[in-house]
Amino acid sequence: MERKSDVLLQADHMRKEFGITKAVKDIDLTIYRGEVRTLIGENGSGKSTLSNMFAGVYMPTEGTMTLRGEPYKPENIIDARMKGIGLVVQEVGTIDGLTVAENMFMGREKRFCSCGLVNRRKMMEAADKALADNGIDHFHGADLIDKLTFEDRKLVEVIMVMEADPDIMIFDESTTALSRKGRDLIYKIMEMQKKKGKSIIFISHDLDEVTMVSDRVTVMRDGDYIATLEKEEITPERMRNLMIGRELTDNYYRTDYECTCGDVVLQVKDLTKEGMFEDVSFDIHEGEIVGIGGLTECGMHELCKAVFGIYSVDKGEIYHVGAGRKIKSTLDALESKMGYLSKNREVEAMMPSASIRDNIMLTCYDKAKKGMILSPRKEKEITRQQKDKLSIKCRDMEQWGRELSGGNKQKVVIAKWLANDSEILIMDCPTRGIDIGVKAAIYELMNELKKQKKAIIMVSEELPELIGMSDVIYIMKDGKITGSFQRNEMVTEHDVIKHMI
Amino acid sequence: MNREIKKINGDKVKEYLPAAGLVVVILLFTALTGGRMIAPTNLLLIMKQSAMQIIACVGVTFVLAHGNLDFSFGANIAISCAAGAIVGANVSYLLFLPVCILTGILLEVFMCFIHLSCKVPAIVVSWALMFFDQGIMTTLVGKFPMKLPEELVFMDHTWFYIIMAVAVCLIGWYLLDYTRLGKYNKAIGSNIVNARFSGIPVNKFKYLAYVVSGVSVGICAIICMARGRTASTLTASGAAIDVLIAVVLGGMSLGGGTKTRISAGIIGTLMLEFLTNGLTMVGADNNLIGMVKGLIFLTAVIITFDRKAVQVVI
Repeated sequence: MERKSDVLLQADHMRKEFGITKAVKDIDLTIYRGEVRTLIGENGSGKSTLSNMFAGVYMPTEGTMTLRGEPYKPENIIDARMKGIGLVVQEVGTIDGLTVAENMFMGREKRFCSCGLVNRRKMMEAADKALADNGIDHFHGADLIDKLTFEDRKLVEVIMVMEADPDIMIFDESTTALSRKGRDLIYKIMEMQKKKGKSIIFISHDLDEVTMVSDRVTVMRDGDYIATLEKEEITPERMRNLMIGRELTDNYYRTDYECTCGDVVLQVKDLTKEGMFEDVSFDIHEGEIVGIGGLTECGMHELCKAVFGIYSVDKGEIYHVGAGRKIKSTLDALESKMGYLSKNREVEAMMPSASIRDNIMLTCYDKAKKGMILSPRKEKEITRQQKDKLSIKCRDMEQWGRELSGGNKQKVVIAKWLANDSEILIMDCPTRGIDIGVKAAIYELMNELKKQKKAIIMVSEELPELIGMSDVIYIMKDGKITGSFQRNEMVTEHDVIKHMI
Repeated sequence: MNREIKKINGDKVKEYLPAAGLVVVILLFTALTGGRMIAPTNLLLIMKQSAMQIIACVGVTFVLAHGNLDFSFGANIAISCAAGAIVGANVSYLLFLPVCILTGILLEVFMCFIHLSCKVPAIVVSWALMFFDQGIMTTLVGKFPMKLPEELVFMDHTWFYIIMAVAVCLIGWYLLDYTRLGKYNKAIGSNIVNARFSGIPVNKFKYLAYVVSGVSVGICAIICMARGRTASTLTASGAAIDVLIAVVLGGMSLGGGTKTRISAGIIGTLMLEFLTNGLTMVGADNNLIGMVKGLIFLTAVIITFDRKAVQVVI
């Protein structure tokens, strides 16, 4: 049992609400000195939100925190870092246009100041020393940070946070995009901090990694605290069961293995766009789910945009068989009853500061036409139909899009296209960042659409989803299609991955 | 639950604040002026003086809806006056009205064309156009007499202005809230990427917004000439800023989007007119009036600015 004096951070009754969404419901957490505490949970479980509250990114809706025995209430991320909690984010945490040294000592330039002027040389030297101390020699303090890879930038960010000598370092899915070498460096840093009596809050989806580095694992689900596992109890199966909370039945994805696909509705021929994809050809049939997979940079996301007419192509064409026309613009796509759900939902697929009604009606004002006026009553009718069909959880239809949870936002985006009777849906990572309950609902919806003879192109970065839902899978690598699989029980993740890397 | 109720009410309060502000101003100065301000002749005067700016606001609202600003509005009015006057004097007075409107449309659409094809921010193009207009105006004023054709002097009548303003407001309201022109422009202002990815022909509808703006430029030019009988380099100078202040006062967000309303321009303009009128009536001098306007504008922005939509204060 840990002694009271070993408590570094005490958080009680932490709560965070974003409008109607309860991200963190009522959580108590105790972090002890010298431990690596991992937070795990599905997307939407609240682990990022909780650590963001520790790091000063969000103000808690309710709750108190005590750091080193003193009340702790950070105003913002810099204040938190000064007070002893530093956050390394998942996305890019460094600033373009500055050098490595300038990023590393952001906010702490005073160290190198004399008479109000910053001594650049001293700053560069300090940066070079910090890099050398961590075994990094392939870039230097004077280098422009834009030129570094994502991984190297992440390492600079880690060093930047360490410079403030925080008592608790939070790594929010920072290892997700790193290579073996990068991850090893992070693990070494974590060990070093532990030896100094500091603590780490670690967030990761890689359960093997979690098993290896953690002293304790705290499991969260849907904003609630589920359990904390001690070192001996940490195993991937135990963690998975606690995360999900129920038996993941086989009916999560599709259970059938037939291909009831009809005629060709869309033909993609020799599609080429320099720097993105090359000679991509495939057909899409009625009632078919075409899965496209690959690593993030393989060109599949850009391919989606091109098929929907957003990007123009250098060579090749997209031919809509039913309408007998080539798709060259989004207007063509819309008129051919195609729909596109961007991977970057919040920024590209909806209007956060507009009502649910405005969002859904955007593609189908035709239907609300009453003479020369767009009838608000018809709009409400159409929106209500979609809301019921998709079970969108909201206060009412005038509620703003940004107040909905991730899963419901996605439902609104889908509703937008269903309201226009779309026949072909291009879905880019349709269940990204959505919790398990809504995920299942979306898979059910996709099955429904399939039965209604609609066609779906689904780009996914999750292999189980790709294999579980598609009638045919195309794998892309470096812009080209490198493999394809018809749906059958024998396809494994191993077979598929071979074509991706 | 309580927190939610408080928040809903907070948003609703913000929505009705401009209208409430207008009512407060009217009541306050009615009391201070012993009722003189709401005497029928004075009310008609206020309506007449508000007419042109209200029409300007309606036009600019469409461009604001999709998130662009237009600083050339006043200068465009001046050029339209000049064009109408020149054609009216040298060809036929019947052409005065159509030429004013056509010139307005041409200038605004030209601005949109440069914005879209050269990919320059619209606000920058509008500044350039403003300077360009001023140059042209100075040249023209020297060479041609700028007079309202005699035959059209009958237009200078209070009811003409008021009816024009009401008609423009009604048509503007219809277009903004009940047609695709309005809905799409608001959607573009709310999230242009989403609009593109939802199949909306963004460029086409931006042009249409500028056409509406151009028509209102033309109508303002007609009213300007009708009231002043002549045009000069000072004509409608400052109109662009006056319009911006009025719409912000009336509750408009400068980023556009789905909350854009015709009422913003109307409420803001009336508030300023009643304020000016009332202050003058109680004997305040011009400087005081300016300071009061400035303070009220600042307060309005502080209260109504949508902080949640902007995460960083620039």
